[in-house]
Amino acid sequence: MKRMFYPQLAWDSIRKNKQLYVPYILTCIGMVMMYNIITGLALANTPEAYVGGGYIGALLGMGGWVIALFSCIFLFYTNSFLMRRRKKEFGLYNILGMSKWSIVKILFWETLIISVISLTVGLILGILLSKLAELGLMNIIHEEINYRFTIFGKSIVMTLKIFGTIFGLLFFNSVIRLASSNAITLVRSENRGEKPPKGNWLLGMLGILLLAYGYYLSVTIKNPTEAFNTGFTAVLMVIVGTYLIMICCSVLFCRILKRRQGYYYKANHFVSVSSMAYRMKRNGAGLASICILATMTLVIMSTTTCLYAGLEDSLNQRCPRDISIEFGMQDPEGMQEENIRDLQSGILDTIQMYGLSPKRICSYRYAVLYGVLEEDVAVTNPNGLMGMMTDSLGTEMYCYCFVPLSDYNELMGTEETLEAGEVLISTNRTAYPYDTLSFEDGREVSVKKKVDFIFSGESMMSIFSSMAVIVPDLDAALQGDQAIVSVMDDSFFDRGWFYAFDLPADAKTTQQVYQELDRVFGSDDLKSRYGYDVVSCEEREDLRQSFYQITGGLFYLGILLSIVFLFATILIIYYKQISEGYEDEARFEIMQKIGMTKKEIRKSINSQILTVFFLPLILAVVHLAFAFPMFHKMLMLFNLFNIRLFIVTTGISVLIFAVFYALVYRITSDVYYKIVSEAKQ
Amino acid sequence: MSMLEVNGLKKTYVTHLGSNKVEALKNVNFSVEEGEYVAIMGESGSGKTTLLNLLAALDKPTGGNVILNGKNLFKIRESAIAQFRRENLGFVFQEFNLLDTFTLEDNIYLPLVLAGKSYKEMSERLKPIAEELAITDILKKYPYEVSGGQKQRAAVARAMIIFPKIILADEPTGSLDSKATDELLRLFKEVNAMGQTILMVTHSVKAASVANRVLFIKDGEVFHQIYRGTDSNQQLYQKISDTLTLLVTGGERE
Ligand SMILES: Nc1ncnc2c1ncn2[C@@H]1O[C@H](COP(=O)(O)OP(=O)(O)O)[C@@H](O)[C@H]1O
Ligand SMILES: [Mg+2]
Repeated sequence: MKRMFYPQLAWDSIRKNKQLYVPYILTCIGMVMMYNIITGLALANTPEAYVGGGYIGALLGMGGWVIALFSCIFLFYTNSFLMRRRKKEFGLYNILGMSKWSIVKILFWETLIISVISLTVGLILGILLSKLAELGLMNIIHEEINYRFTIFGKSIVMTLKIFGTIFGLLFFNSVIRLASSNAITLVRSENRGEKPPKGNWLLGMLGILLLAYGYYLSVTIKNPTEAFNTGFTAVLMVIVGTYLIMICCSVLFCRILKRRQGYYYKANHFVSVSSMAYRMKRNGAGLASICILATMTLVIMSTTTCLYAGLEDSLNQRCPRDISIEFGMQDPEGMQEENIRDLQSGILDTIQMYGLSPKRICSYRYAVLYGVLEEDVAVTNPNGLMGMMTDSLGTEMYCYCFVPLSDYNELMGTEETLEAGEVLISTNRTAYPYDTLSFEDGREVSVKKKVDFIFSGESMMSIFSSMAVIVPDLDAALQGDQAIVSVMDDSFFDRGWFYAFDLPADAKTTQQVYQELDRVFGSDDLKSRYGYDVVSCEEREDLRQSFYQITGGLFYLGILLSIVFLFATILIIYYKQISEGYEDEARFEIMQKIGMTKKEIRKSINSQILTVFFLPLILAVVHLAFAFPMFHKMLMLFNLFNIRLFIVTTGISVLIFAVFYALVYRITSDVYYKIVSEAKQ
Repeated sequence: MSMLEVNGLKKTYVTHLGSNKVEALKNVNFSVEEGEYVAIMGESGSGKTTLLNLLAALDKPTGGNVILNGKNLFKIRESAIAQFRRENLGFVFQEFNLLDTFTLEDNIYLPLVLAGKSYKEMSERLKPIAEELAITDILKKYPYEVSGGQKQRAAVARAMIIFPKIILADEPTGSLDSKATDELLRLFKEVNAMGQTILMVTHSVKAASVANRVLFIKDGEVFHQIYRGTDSNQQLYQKISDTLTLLVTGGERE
């Protein structure tokens, strides 16, 4: 009898506080389930299961850690909500003569009950859903996963370890909070009189400036490499700016509203403006967190979906034909037309063995020089280059790819002509707006036309943008007194021949041809005969597989994390509203007593909840809009240039998010209204 | 006709399970004339708050009716009740019931804002009332910044600013120290002298002895009433004490 006292008390208090504990336990269950699924998948994707399995496994493993860390932060956050609500109850127990030690026992039993429920249900759901999750992953990455039974054991043990630790930490945190407060403060913790905060103009202005500058950075980013460096700064500024604005500007805004008597002293503004002003300081940080979390979710959703949906696009960019071979030639002799012709017939011979002939052939010689582009000046000089690279990390690094006009015309089926000192230009990622191009250690040339070009796999794969410079004569452009750029011994310089073609054959034969070419031209014998020193052979089908793994893995992880973040965002708002509902209970009772109708109360509640709910969402969408150019540039690194697709996936992400959001808004405002109007009964 | 008439008022609370019934008011009859200052006394749990809630139309009675200025309170449509309340009834509660999100001034304006009055009109109404209650200097403060007595005076101002037919006060001195109690009772007397009708519920003999008439309720009925007549506060105090003794010892109803 006596022994069961504390468990019984703990169970009763969980049941009594249903409105608080049910969502909390559901969150715990959700987190346990997600973690269990993702670790199970991470364990199932091994290099032994399929080629590239190690990559997916590592990616998902990382995702598991993200979820674990996030769960920890998030459960601490929600638990502090619960504790704030419960403090009064504990204080009462304390005053009624229950020792703190006994309260600790109740807390212990509560934690135990909650963790047992969440772990049991979470693990069962996790195991049940893991098959589905596995099927989903297989569909996305187009691989067979070997999900053996032993994995269940391992993933369950990992889940128990991680969440056991989290629950333990939560318990200790509660105990420490309890110990550091006395009975009186516990009882009164909820309704301490508090002056509405004074807004800080300086911090508010700083917030606006930071946000504006972050937006400015994102919008003015010119190329993908810059997007990574500057982008990080921009994101930081926007985050700090959001917090400052939400905390300071909202208070200031309310104060301005309050000063406008004609506006403030109106039945439908009076109550909402004053209670918003009163809460903003405490709420500001919460709203900012919700906003950041929402933005993060939207970014993850839209980018990973875009990556996956644009997979074929970027594959085609990356590998324009079924098979491509690239020969790197140190020896300028190799670039002679005769040698190239011999090489080509060697390739044709190999293909001939399968009774096939190549179609839609791409063939061109090129010379590549790395450098920086500053406006219309290309710096390829290695000394200058080093200085600039350390100065501004990777800004506007370019790969200049010189191609002779004759090869170009043959490649594109055009009949362009060029005078000396004229070039055609094509860029693969960012537009080149100038009419001239000058090389720092060379000459200025005039850009006759901006044209299309088929870039080699090497240049599409590079994190640097490429610029094809079509010159009348390759040799003359690089050396002699007519040279437009000077190549030094230690310049970042390469030259070679790119050859790509389609094969009118089935996948299997194509693969055989590809393997044969790879084998034949990889031999040292041929290397010395044709004067090339590196060769890289690629097949589109082969690449497609790894594309599905890379983007599919990211997409899958993106979905899982989006779900987790989405529900977290929603839950934070739910708790926020509920705890405010309890605070408002007394307030609305008073208002009812002095003559506020139910309808007026409902109206005032709606306008408050609407603001609290949709302010962060609106700001998140604005963030997303300004971040769009930046992420669009980043996607270019994956050879995704389809801006329409990115707009569509972003739009869909916002829509899905908003639908869930609106749903929770309905539920929350109902619960809130119930709490507030229960006061009277 | 009296300003307020209470006829056969009855209230039975049914607890959640429906099995337990508490008869808070059985059969309450009394009336209040315009300009009167009436105190209602009774022990804790005798149904004073229940009665006041009914008079304020905050709750529905089990039987009987309340007529204020010729209007039957319980015949008013649900949707019009809140408006009726804020146009006719001023409230003062034991726990002040001020909103901590508002300054005292805004707290006082609240019923008028709900009624759609302009700021100009509200501040003109407030000026003399604030002066009378000596809260002009603290109007811009928040409830937590002022003392209990000052809070209660702000609450009285909030009740008065709507120019109510009647002020209903539920244990207004219950949370005040003796100095603030004296101050508030003096104010009530002054306000009443200016013609304001006041109905005050209390269990404090001192508070009741300031009124013109004292009603006693026991077992859900009006048990007895004392008119001041020409008595001084001191004399009335003595009479009330005697009646209470009678009440406790279970005397017969007169
Ligand atoms: N909402 C309610 N539900 C059930 N019983 C109630 C309720 N309110 C009051 N009572 C009961 O009615 C009686 C009168 O209460 P109340 O009017 O508050 O007394 P007073 O204000 O004189 O102390 C008490 O017995 C109380 O328990
Ligand atoms: Mg009472």
